[in-house]
Amino acid sequence: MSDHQPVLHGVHHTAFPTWKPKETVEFYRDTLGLPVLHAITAKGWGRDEHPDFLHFFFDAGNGAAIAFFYYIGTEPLEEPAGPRGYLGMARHTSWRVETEAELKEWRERLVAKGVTISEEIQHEVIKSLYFRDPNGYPLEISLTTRELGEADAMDASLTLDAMIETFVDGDAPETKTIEDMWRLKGEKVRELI
Amino acid sequence: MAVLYVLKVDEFKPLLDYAEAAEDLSISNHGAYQKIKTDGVLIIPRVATGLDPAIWFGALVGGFEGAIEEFSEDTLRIV
Repeated sequence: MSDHQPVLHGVHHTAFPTWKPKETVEFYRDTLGLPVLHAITAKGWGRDEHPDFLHFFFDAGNGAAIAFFYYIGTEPLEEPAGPRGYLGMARHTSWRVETEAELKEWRERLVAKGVTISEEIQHEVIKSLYFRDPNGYPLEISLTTRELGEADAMDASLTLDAMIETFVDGDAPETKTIEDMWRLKGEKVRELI
Repeated sequence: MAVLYVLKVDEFKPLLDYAEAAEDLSISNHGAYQKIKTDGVLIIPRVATGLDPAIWFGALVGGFEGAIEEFSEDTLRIV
């Protein structure tokens, strides 16, 4: 087996199930204005009673698409995006804009189209707007406010090591808190510097 | 003694600026990190740093030494 590291070139598409095909098309095509790229219509494959379906794609820029499956005649999941709150927000799509002006344009467009949006939130390295699609899927538009560097990657590796040692591999991981992890991270940093 | 390690990146600079100005805190430079240290209790009031909660609550990512007595929206207190 080769040690060669294969590369990825960003997102081709992500895909989600929908039971609101009309609202989904209207939201992504008309409200957001994302061009329709492709639509596949297929007979079910006969395996596991796989239903007939449509699979359709909207252009999210830079070669990336967001796509949906509409499985004809199936019972909708009650909460396809998951429960509201932090769990439901965890699995989300964040799109990139390049300038403050672009972020402002999106904010103005979403407000004009009646989409409920969050306040802009400045995180560590991005500034973001949040909203939801008609299925409840969380969406985000992000502006990078600082490029990541080697120090970020080094620090992140130490953090992930501390996470695994604290919450998985260490003693009594089920009793551990974020304070324990931060203390272990501090030990790692002290050893490093 | 309480110690806070802070990665030298823009978003955490307000913490370092606060520590530099605070009489009871010392600050030293260690490669990618700065070390905020005190022989007593390390207290940082959020509002005085100017950090919004979204970044404030992530400000311990560099790790610490001691025990966290309070880490609220208002105050970080490490003993």
